Amino acid sequence: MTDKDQLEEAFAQASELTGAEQEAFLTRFSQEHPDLVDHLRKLLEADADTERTVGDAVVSSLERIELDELDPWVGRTLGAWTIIKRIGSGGMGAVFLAERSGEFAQQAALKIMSAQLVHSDAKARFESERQILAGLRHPNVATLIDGGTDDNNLPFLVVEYIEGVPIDVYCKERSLGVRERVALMRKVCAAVDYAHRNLVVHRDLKPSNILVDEDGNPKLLDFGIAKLIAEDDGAPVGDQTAPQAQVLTPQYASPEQVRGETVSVASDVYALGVLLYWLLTNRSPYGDTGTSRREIESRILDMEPQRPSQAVTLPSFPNTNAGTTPGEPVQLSTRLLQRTLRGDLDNIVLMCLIKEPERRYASARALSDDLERYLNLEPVFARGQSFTYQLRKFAQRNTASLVAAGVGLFAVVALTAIYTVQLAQERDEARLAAAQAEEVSGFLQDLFEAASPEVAQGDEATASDLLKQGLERIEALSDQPALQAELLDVIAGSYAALGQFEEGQKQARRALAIREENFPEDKLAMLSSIYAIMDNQEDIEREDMIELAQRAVTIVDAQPSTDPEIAATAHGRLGRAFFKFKRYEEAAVQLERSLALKESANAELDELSLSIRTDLASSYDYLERFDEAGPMFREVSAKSDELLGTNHPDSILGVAHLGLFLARTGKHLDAVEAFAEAVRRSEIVFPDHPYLTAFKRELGYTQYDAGLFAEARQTLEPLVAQVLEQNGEAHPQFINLSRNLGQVLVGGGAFQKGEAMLDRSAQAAAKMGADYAFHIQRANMQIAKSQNVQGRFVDAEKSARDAIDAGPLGPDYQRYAALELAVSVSGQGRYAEADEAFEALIAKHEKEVGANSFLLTEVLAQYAAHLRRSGQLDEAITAARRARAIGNDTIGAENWRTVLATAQLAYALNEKGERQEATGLLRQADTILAAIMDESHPYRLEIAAVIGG
Amino acid sequence: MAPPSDITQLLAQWSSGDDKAADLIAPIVSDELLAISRRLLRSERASHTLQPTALVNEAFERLMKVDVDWQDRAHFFALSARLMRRILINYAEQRAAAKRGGGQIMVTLSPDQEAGEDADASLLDLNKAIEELAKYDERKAKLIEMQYFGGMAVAEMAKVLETSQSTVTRDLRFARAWLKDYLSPR
Repeated sequence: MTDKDQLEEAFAQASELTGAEQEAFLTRFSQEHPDLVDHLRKLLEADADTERTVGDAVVSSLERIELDELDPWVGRTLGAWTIIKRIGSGGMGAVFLAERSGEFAQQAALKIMSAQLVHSDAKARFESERQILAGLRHPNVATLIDGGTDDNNLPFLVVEYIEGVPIDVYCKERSLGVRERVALMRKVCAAVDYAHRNLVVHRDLKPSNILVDEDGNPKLLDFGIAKLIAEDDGAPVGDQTAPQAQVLTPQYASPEQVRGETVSVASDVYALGVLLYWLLTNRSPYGDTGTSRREIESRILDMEPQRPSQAVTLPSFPNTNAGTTPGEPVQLSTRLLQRTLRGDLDNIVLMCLIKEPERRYASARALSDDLERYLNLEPVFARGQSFTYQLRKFAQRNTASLVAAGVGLFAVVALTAIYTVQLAQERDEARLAAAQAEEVSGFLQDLFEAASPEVAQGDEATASDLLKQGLERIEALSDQPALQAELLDVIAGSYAALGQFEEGQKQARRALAIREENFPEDKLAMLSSIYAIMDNQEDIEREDMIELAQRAVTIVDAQPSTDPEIAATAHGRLGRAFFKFKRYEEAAVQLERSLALKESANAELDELSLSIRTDLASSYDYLERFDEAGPMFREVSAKSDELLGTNHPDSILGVAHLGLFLARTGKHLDAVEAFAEAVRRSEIVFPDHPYLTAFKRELGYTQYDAGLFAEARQTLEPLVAQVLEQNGEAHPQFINLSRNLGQVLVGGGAFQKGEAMLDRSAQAAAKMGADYAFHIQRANMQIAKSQNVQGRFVDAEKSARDAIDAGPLGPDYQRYAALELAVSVSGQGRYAEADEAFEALIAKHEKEVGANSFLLTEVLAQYAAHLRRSGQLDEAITAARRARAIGNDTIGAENWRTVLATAQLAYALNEKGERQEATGLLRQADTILAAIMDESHPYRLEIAAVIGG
Repeated sequence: MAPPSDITQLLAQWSSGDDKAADLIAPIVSDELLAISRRLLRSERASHTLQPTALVNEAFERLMKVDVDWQDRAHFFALSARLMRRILINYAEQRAAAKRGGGQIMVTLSPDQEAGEDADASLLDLNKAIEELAKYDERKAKLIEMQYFGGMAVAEMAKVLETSQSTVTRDLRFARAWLKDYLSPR
């Protein structure tokens, strides 16, 4: 018997024995198997231990499986996202951790609506959350990454995954003191204020919706019941049947929410007050939160909360609803905490909690400013500003210096008279600043109110309606030109964000005029208006763009003490303007200067630095300094995703810029991927923005270059239909896009349809007059190409000549047209003329785009075809081999342009009698072409004929 | 979902040694186990303790033909036990990983979370112990799995392992003692 069997056998016997008998057995066993007896003894002990059973762990872990976790969602794929695990459930649905693989790999929180709610108005709410989040991009707001619907048409959202803890837990874990808690609240206020400025009220601010990450940055999430103020339906919150009633947290609800009245900015200010109360005192303003909902609601309506400084002296009530508490701020004692809170913080908190919304702080910003004043020991707004109060503040602020100077309290009082003047001045400044801030927030508040149902009579106001109403209000501010100009700049910025450039530019120009008239000396202030104009010069009226930018540069350069980042911005703007006018050399100079200025102040790769680098990389790109451009584009795109989030407009532009660069350097498939990503992101973030059209156009175009003709057609056809509907035929967008579509159709072998589309593009251009005549030429160039492929060389020559002779075409199209002309001439047997044309064309390419540009692949392949036709087989082979080598190095062996070169090489070899090699090459070529062209395409017919023949 | 006859067929293939068949039924059975435990937890949580036996029995009734032979029934239970173990371990590991990663998200934490963490830890410990036991004696580990994760009766276990009921009883007692000893603090 083995030891193992010995042990088991002994165990079987001994376990049946007890007491002395078992002992006797063990004694005998130890003599026979001294090495096994210890193990046996332990096994018997374990066997006798009836306290513990093996199955307990299994049963209790079965119990542990939360309903949620045992659900079939885990592992499912929604769009590009795979669900990893559930991280929470709420009234509206569930939240999962999800993961996207591939080049844009990342983890995110995926929120899906519960199926039961799909047919209720909850779906609209869900959609509105998506819409709201898409419009919010702020470092302290969790950003929207993606969205869509699953197989069952359940809508889902993908939001930035925040690794953080609720703000109260954070305060407790880090044992933060009062000042640190106040400072943290200011960041929360900034995020809330940002949402308000975007006309969004959160309506459910509470610790679990505010997570703080490792670095102490709070992030606002769950805009599940937030609303664009325009859509507020004013449904009674107190009504238990309303879905809203279930999702709202009663402890943080304001009186107006409890009463079901209109919710506004002030309601969020109220919730911020409750949160501040909670963080500062570890107590809820209305006592024990474990009481019934009805009781809490009645207290919210009627009970005056205790001053925080008093509340901390009472025994703290355990909060039975939440599992966590913020803990009290770290202080030496309750008395010290009481003294710290007494006065300013009491006043600030209570001002948030006033029952009447209109008497609270007018905005989160105003609250934040008061908290800042508290931190700076300056007079806070939340307090009647009596003279003694002012004086006490002054004394506090200057205690250190007064004490150091050996001045006692008596002396302070005596000095009062001397300081009174200074004090009054200071106070006036503070008041002025406060007044101006109040005006701005009041203005925003008015906008919100204007859009609420009572005022707007139930019409659904859109963002542009709101801006229009805003403009009307601004008219009334003519006695305050500084404020008026500032608000106009704000409005112009909003128009730019909406893509309504014409209106935006108009308002920004007004702002500039106001500043010039009223404050001609305050040049720096003009920058804001100048930039607001430029931001609106995306497509239109950009004649004076460079002039404006030069003015900005003059302003900053005239003041050597200007903050280098401001100077960097001005030079960057000028660089960008040069770039837009294709003056790349000058652009690069300005942008290099801008980057140097920026880095002299701060070498960090931040938002400003990214934007300068993007422009600089683009300039390098156009200057064909690819080695400098490539790494810069990649760096910018990666860093921008990381820093600003993948859906920030700059990040999206970063991806698009990278795509353009990849396309220009012949990396068509990579470029397709980049533009597809840019399109995907833009559809979420700015579905109505002109950028989206531009990205789709580039996507279609790069798909064409990559040989993905069917995909390109799928991209461009709906786009052409869309721009046609929006602007009609007589518009550059239609002309460009219909030409691109025509080209794609021709590429895929749909010659008739393609030529018809190209004709349509040309006709649309003809309607628009001489300025657009070059579009006719470009369409003719493409028609020539179609005709050449079909062997209609006489027609092709005419089309190509039409394209070339009608006027200047631009260098790119000039080369394309010259190629088609040469092909058509060779096709008609005029070999000497074609020889000359090709040689000139190749030289031209080598000079203009470099001897290794992917553009040469097609030219050399056509040249090889011509040489073969004219009987110069060896030369044809040389040209085809060079075409192939360039193609392999740039666009890859499987790109259709390289394949054309391969086919030409094979034809020439075939004619030289190298039939076997030729057939092999042609089979390879045909396999690739079969994926993108029908059998009836002339290229494939030719291959089939040679293989078969 | 595959119709019951297919599952019975696959199960028969599996019990006659075709491991690929087990791969094919595993997901179906897993899904069913999950669905049932979700329902049982929802409806019976307040009154009963959830036992693996109840789970597996119900899964069997739902998935298998009633007239399936005794041999196949035992194999179905053995497979379910294996899957149940895998499921429970996965969840415990996921929770443990989430805890380590500090990825505490927008969940309001449940008050009995700490008790739950203990349960996870002891399940993971048990799993480790069973793995060790398998190195020592694979058959015994298998028995433990069938008994505790599949809630199988001795007669059924004897069927699956093609041995006598008395051997199963004897081996189980040894295996339990072995595990308790392994798991006891030293």
